Amino acid sequence: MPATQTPPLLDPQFLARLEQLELVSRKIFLGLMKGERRSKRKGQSVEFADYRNYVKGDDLRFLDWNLYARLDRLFIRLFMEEEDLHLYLLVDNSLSMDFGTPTKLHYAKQVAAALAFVGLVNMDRVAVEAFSERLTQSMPAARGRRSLWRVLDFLNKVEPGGSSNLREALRTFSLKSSGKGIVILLSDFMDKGGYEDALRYLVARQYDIYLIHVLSQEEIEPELMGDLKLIDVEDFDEAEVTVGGPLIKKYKQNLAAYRAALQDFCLKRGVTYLFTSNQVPFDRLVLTYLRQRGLVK
Amino acid sequence: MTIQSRRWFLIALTAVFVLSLPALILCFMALTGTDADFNEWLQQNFKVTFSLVLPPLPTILLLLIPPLIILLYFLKLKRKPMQVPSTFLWKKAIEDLHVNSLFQWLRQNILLLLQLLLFVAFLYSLLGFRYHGTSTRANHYILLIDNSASMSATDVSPSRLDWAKQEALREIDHAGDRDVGMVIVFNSKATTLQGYTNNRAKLRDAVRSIEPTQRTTRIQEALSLAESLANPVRTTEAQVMRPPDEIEGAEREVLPPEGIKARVHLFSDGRFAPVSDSVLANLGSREVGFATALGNLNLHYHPAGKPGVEHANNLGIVMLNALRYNPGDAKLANLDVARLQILVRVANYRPRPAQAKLRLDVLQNGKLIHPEQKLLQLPKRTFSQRKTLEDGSEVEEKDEPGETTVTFLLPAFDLRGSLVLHAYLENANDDFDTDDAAWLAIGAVRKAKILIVGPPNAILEAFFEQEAAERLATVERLSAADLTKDAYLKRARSGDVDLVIFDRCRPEPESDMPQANTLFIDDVPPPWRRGTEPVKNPFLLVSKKDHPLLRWITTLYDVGIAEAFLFHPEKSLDPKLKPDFDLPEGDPKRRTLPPLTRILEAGGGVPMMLAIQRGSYTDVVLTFPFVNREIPAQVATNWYREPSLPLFFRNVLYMLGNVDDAVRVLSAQPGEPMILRPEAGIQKLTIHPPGGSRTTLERGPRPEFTHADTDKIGVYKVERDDGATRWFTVNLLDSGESNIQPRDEIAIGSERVAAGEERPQPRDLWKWILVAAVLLLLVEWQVYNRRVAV
Repeated sequence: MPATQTPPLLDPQFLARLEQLELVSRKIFLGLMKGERRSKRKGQSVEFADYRNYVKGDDLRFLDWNLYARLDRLFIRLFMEEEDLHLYLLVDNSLSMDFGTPTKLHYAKQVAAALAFVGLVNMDRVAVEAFSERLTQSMPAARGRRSLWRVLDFLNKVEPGGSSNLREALRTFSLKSSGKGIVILLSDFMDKGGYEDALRYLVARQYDIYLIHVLSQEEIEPELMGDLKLIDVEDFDEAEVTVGGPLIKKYKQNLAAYRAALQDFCLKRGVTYLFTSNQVPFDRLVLTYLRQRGLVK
Repeated sequence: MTIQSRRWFLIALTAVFVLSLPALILCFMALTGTDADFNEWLQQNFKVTFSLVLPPLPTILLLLIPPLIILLYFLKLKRKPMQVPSTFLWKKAIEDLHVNSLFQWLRQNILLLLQLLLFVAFLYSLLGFRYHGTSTRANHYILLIDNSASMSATDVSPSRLDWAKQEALREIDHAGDRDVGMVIVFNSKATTLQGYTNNRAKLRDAVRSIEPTQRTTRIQEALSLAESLANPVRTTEAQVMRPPDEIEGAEREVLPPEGIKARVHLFSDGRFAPVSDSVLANLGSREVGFATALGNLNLHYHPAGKPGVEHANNLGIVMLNALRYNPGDAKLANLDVARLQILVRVANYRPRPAQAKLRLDVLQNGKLIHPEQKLLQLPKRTFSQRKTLEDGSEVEEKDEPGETTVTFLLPAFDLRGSLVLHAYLENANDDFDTDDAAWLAIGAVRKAKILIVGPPNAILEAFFEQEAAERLATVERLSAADLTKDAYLKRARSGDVDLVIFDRCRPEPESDMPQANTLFIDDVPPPWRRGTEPVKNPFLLVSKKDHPLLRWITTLYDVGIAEAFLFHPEKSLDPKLKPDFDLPEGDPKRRTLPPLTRILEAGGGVPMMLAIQRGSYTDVVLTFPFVNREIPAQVATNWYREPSLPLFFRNVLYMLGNVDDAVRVLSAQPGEPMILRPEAGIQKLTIHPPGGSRTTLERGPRPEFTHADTDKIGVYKVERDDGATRWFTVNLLDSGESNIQPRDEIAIGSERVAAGEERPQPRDLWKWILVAAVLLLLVEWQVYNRRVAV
């Protein structure tokens, strides 16, 4: 769909509401730079974390002199260090995402833009990757409110193309990305190769993973009827069907089972799964559902 | 569809086709009627026969089903393409519905294949295969099918004959394996189309080959054909086989041939004349000793057509005649130009009055020259049922159609132009068309060619030289001396003349007798010789009163004759030839006397005028002269003074000279031979029947031409080799055929055979159930595919 016809990814009122949100990671990661969140690493923040015995070479500034006076032993005070957070937004831009009104891709880009904004405002490091059969477009990590334009510019340039290969794309991503952090994967998961292997790559890297499963209304409630030759837009695979009640029912059962299997897979591996349709207003998704799931607060 | 499944599909389709191929060939054979020989072979080798159980048209329609199924299948395959994000879930759904690809393929095609297989099975069932096992006894049945004109009536659709054929086929279908049947078709004649056989295909072919005719109906011949095997007559064989030296008391017993009991199915409307006992006397059953006329025949009458007087819907022309209209002086009547009075009788067989328009077209050489028409008001038919009288006997009350006779008086026409009258009913709106039209050909004057051989004869000349006689005859004269010359011999042998009058002379050898009728005056033809014994002043007595030569002659008692010669059929034979007549019986050289008819006699049985048959010719002998043999100036009789002499000569001209003076109607009924007597000298006739191919007739030894192919009603054109054209017509004109109401019962002699009750014939329900099953399966297939994928 041409960019001129699509609504802007984010509008100012929505941005204003997003400013109050911040990303929440259930895991504490090491950051490269001091950020606005607690780090696993003990450091120089004001928040006390623990004591440990002094060993030779420790910074004398962190000695707890009061304790030395009482116990006559040297202890080093450990503080929680506040760090920045890596936020990886992985947007599926395969051809299958170019369906629905609005298209699933546009919807995914809107969600990605919103989450990126939340991350940028909270001084997190936000990286965006578009993928189809591999990683197709990458935006280097950006930080700070001022980088929002870069993110939006990048997202606007993401066009549908190629067929899905989640496994290859996520394998490349997990090898390439260095820091740990939050990975938000926006896709329709319509990959004939399956999603299990792909997600295992991410799980192995111990990212805090969120899957946002985007489907169009036409996929959830197909309104097809009669003798049809269905052509897959990605690989031009054909399926000859005579669509009728039982087939539609079976399709829906399969879709539900597929979603359930994906959700189950995620649940077992601590991955947060969120299913959405392109008919759910994306602001509500971000402000309500993601908040409920604890991704933002 | 994968390549593999496509291959499977083709293999399966080919297998089904191969399976259906024999059935298709057999179907084709049965449809084209070429299955008889193959059936016989099948029966001999495999005890199996087949025949189509449905009529040809439904069979052909059924054969169109498989292409239709395949067409529908391919139409169904034409799917609308549609792009979807992914076929991932759809395929999964399909796969879930069809466990694997083979099953999926089966799902895709099994129904088609099943339907085709079902069709093949259906096709084989249509062929009505029968296994001919053994059965205990064979029954004989005879199918008598009437194909006369009235069987073309359309009160039952499409016609009575078609109904009769269907019923007959049904009888064949329900006959047992060893039952033997015979097919006889009858109209005015009867023909055995198929003798006794148990080959049903042959019987069916025979029944199917029956075509409607326009002939009248007579059942006697059919009955005698039917009973030939049922009631075999004791022949003289028994006597011949008896040894001459048989010892009394130890005679050889000769068993009479045993008759075969047969069930006769008569499919007719019963519109034939009741068969009288005298006619039935010729049937074998009486001779064999049966009390009833039918003997071993068990007759079942299947009436064709809608019974009841209320369904009789027919108007018909039952008579068409033409008369010369001579209101004034008969002497002024011109033979060539005359006014004609046409009489048409139209009968109404409906139980209510009817109105019809009768048109009469006068055609000359095929062109309409004068039309006439009249609106007819026909009274209703008077009909009453049979009644049982008090004494128990039954009488049939009169059944008379409402009749009207219409007279048309035509203006004067030149009758030499061969007029044809065409009378027809317009808008008759009835069930029987054949009798709605009739034709009449007004024959042109046919002049006789007469050769008079002998010395001058004033009395003969006085008759033949008058104007009226010249219009009827052309006369040539030869002297007695010419009898041995070519002048006579050529004429005699060519058959160029109609009548030769030998006046006081005769050709000596028998071989010089002319190919014509003859009148011998005071002489006799060979092999007789003129008697020498005179009969003085004989008195003429009529011995054959209604002979055509004596027509209109009332008195002969005042005819005086000076002298006649005595003629005796045996004694007057030429002594040289007489031994041939006296040879013993059985001798191939033996001659017999030809039939002699004594027309006039003198007292004591002395023949004075007699007719002798000579092949197809007639020789008339007068045993007395008109003019004295020795003294030519002296007349030998006073007959010339009597009015009876010109009448006699007129009769001679008409009878022996074959004169035709117009208004003599040349018409025959369909199937009757038409006898044409053109003037002597015509050697060849070409006959153009209505809508048919022409026939050429050559003159044979007989003076007339006989045309037997008169099956179609209408006008027949006759082209003669002298360039003239004549016409004759064939008309039904039969009130028996026009009355199309089927009889409730028929009379065979004193027996009455009522219409058979509707027999509870086993209907082939399974066929229709099978058809319903196929239709159901088609519907099911459609519904199934609407609901379930592919």
